[in-house]
Amino acid sequence: MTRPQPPNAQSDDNPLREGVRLEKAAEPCAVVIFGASGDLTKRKLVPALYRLTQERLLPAEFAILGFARSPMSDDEFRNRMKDAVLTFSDAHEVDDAVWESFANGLFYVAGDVNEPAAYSKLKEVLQRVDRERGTSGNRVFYLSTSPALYSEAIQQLGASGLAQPEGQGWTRVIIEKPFGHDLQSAKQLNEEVAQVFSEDQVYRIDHYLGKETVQNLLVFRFANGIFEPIWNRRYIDHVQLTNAESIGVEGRGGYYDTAGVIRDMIQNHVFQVLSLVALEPPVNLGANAVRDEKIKAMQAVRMIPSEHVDEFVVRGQYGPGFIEGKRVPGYLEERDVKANSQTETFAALKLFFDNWRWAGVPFYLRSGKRMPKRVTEIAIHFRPAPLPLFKTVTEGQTMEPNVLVVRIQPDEGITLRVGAKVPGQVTRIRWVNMDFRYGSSFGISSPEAYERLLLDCILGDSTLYARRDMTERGWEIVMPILEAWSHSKAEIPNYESGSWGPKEAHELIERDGRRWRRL
Amino acid sequence: MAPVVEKRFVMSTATIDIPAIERQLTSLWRQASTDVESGVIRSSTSNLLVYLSEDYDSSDFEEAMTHIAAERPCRALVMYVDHNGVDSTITADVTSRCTLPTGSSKQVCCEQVTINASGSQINEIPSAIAPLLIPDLPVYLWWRAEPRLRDRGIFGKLVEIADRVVIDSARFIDPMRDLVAEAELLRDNPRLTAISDLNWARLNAWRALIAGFYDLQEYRPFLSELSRVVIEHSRPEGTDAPISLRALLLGGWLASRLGWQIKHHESSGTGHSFTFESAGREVLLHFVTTERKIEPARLAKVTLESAADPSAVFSVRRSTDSTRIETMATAGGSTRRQRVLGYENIPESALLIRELDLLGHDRVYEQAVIAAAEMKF
Repeated sequence: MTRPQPPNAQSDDNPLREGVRLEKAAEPCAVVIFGASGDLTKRKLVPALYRLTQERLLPAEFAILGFARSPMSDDEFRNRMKDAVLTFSDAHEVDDAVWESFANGLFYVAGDVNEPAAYSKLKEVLQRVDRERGTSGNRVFYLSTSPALYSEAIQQLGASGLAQPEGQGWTRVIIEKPFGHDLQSAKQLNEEVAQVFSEDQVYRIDHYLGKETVQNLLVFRFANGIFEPIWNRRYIDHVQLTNAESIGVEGRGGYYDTAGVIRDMIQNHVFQVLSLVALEPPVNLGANAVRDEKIKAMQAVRMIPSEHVDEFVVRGQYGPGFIEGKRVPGYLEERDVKANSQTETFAALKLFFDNWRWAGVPFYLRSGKRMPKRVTEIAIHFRPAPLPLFKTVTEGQTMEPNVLVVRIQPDEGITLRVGAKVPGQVTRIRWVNMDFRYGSSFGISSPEAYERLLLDCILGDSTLYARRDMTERGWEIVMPILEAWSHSKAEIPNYESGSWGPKEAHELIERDGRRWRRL
Repeated sequence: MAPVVEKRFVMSTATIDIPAIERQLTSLWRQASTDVESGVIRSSTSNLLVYLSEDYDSSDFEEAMTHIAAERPCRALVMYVDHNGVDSTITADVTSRCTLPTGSSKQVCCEQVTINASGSQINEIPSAIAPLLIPDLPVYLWWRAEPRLRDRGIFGKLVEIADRVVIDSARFIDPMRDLVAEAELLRDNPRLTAISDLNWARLNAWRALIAGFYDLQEYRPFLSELSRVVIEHSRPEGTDAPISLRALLLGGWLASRLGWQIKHHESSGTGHSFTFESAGREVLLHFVTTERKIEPARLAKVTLESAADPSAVFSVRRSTDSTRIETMATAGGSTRRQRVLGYENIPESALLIRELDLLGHDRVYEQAVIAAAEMKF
C-alpha cells in the first residue's frame, strides 16, 4: 500500500469525512416545532434532537425553535426542555456546561398559528438565529399541532414566504399523522401542501417506518438471495399481519372517538408495513425508487365494494375485561367517548393484491386495542409440501406448513417454523422454530424511531416518509369500509378486553380453512 | 446495556481433546436449558479468539467478556498463555455466559472455551482453535498481548484464520517501533487480514468533530489553507516515547487525508514539529505535551490554523476531568461557533463491540498508520 493520492481538498467533498461514522454530514439548520408546548415535543422530539447532538450527528450550527400559543420566554422553554430530556431520554443527568451549550440553540416564539403577525415574528427570529447560530437559512418546519391547524399553518408558511428557501438554503416540512380524516380531506390537505411546498420538501412522518425491524424488511427480502424466489403466490399460501395493542385509548378518547382503528392504525402504519411485504424489488434504495414500488404494490390492492364490506372486513369495539390480571373498562366507559359511540377499536380485513406476484393470495390484517398483549408481526404462511410423504407419521396431528414470522415489536426478530424429526426409534415430526432475535444477536438498543426519522429529514432522505400518493391510496382503500360502516350499526361492544377480538374476526379467516396464529 | 448475569457451567479437560470439548459444549447447553424454566437461546454472531499473555493485566478481562457476550453473543475461544511457565501444559474448559432475561425476552447464552497453555504447548493452540470455530461465522482475533507483527509463529498462524485482528496500540511496549512494524506490514501486504486498533477507535469523536468544521461550505476553503496544526497530548506512561500514539495517529490521519508529504522533523523543549509540503505550501504539525493533569497518553487539544486571509482557527479541547469536549471556530478574528458536548472514556469492551460489526479493511486507518509511521524520530 502506498500513501494516498494528493488530497481532494479542492473538491466539494470534505476529505476528512471519509470513514467517520456518518459519512454524509448533516447540514446546518433550524428545526421549528409547531405545537412546541405539546406532548410530542417533550416526549420525543427534543430528547431525540438532544441525543443526536450528543452523538455528534448534528452540527454546531443547529437550533430548535419552539412555536406555540402559550406565552413563554426562551429561558422557560429551555427549562421545560431540560426536564423533558431528563425525563424522557436515557440521559438521567446532564452536565451543566453541556446542557447550556445545547440550550443556547433553543428558542421560543409565542404566536397563534392563524395570525400572520406570528409568522413575521418567526421569520425575524429565524433570521436572527441564522446570524447567531450559522444555520444558513436551512429550515425544517415540524407540524406537531392539532391536525385541524395543519392547513392554516401551511398556508401561513406560504404567505409569509417562510416556505420558500432563501439563497442557497433549503426548507422542509414534516407533517405528523393523521394525514387527513378521509380521502377527501387528505386530498385537500395534499393540495394545500402542494400549493406551498414541492413534494420533495414534504416529509409525512409515520414513526412505524423509523422502527429498525420495519427497515430490516427491505434488507431481509433483498439482501438474502433465498427468500425472493419463494416470495410469491407459487409458494405462499397466505399472509397474516397482526398489530395488537394491550392499551386502551389512554386519555385520548376525544381524538380516538373521531378516528377509530382504521383511521388511526390501518390506513397508515399497517398499510406502510404491508406495502414493504408486497412490493417488487426497487431498482435502487433511493427515496423515490422504494416509494415507487410501495405505491405500485398498493395500487394492486383489490378494492372492497361497500356492499361487500361484511365479507371482507370485521369491526369490533372492546367491552370491559381483564388485561394482565387487572380489570379494565370497556371503550364506552372511557373518558371523552360518546355514550353510544360506534367507533371501532378493532378491525380485521382480508385483502388481495391483483398482480402477478400475489394473485389469489389472501392477506389477513388485524389491528386492535385491548388485545391480550402488545405485538406487531407479519406471518408468511407457506404452502404445504406437495406430497404428504409423512402422512402416516403425523396421524392425529396436523401437518403444519412452514411459517416465516417477522416480529416488529416487541422482541424484534425473525422466526422460521420448520418440521423436524423427534429423536427416537420411530419417525415422528415436531414443529420447531429457528429464531433470529435482534436482542440476542445485537445487544445494543436501537435508536428511537424519531431520532432516525429526524436525522433523515435533516439529511434530505425521505425514503422512510410517506409520499403523497401513498397517503391518498391508503385512504382510497379504506373509504368503502368507512362509508359502509357509517350507514350501518354494529352490535358493539362485541369483544372483551383481553381477547383477540370478536368471534367474527375468527370466522373471517376460518371460513377459508385457515386460522389466526396463536400469539 | 441489558442486565447480565454470568452463569457458569465449568468442566475441564486436561488435554486438548476436541471431541471431548464438543461433547462438553453439548452437555453444557442441555444442562443450561433444563436449569431455566423458559429455556435459553444459544446465540453466536461470530467467533471471537482472544489471546491473553502473562505480560498483560487481564484483571478487567472477565468483566469485558461479560459485556461483549451480552451485546454480541459469540463463541469465544480464549487463550491464556504463560511463556514463562516452568512446565509445558495445556488445559481447556468450557463456560457459558447468559444474559438475564428482561420482560418477555428469553435468556440469551453464549459459550466460551478457555485454553490455558504454557511453555512449548503454546504452539499447540492454533491447531486446537481451528476445529472449534463455528463454520461460516466471521472470525475476530482480539490480540491482548504485545503484538508480534512480524512473527510467523502463533500470531501469524492465528492471523491466518482470522478475518479481522483487533489490537490496541495503546498497549504497545515500544510504540514507535511497533507502529513502524505495523506500517511496513500494511504497506508490504495489501492482502493482509484486516486490522482494527482500539486506540484508533478512541479517536472517533475527535475525528468527527474535526471533520465537522469543514463540512460547512464557508469553512471548507480553510482546509486547503491549513498552515499549522497543534496536537496537545499527555505523555504516555511506562515508555520513553515522547508522543502518545493516539496523537501520532491523529497527525497521520490528517497527513494522509490531506495528502501532506513529510519534509523534516525538529524537536525542541516544547515538543516535536514536523514540516509537511502540501500543494506547494508548508504545513507545520506540532506535538506538544500538555501541562494539564489529564490521564496519560490522551489527546488534550487539537488546534487547526489556516493562514489565509481571513485567517481561521478551529479547536477541539477535552476538559481536564474528561467529561466534556469543547469545540471552537474562529474565522476572520471573531469566534463564530462554540459548543460543549458530553464526553466519556469508552470502555475497551464497548470499543471492541463496535469493531465486531466491521469486516472489511479500514483504509482510512491503514493510511493513517503509514503516514504516522513516517513521522519517526
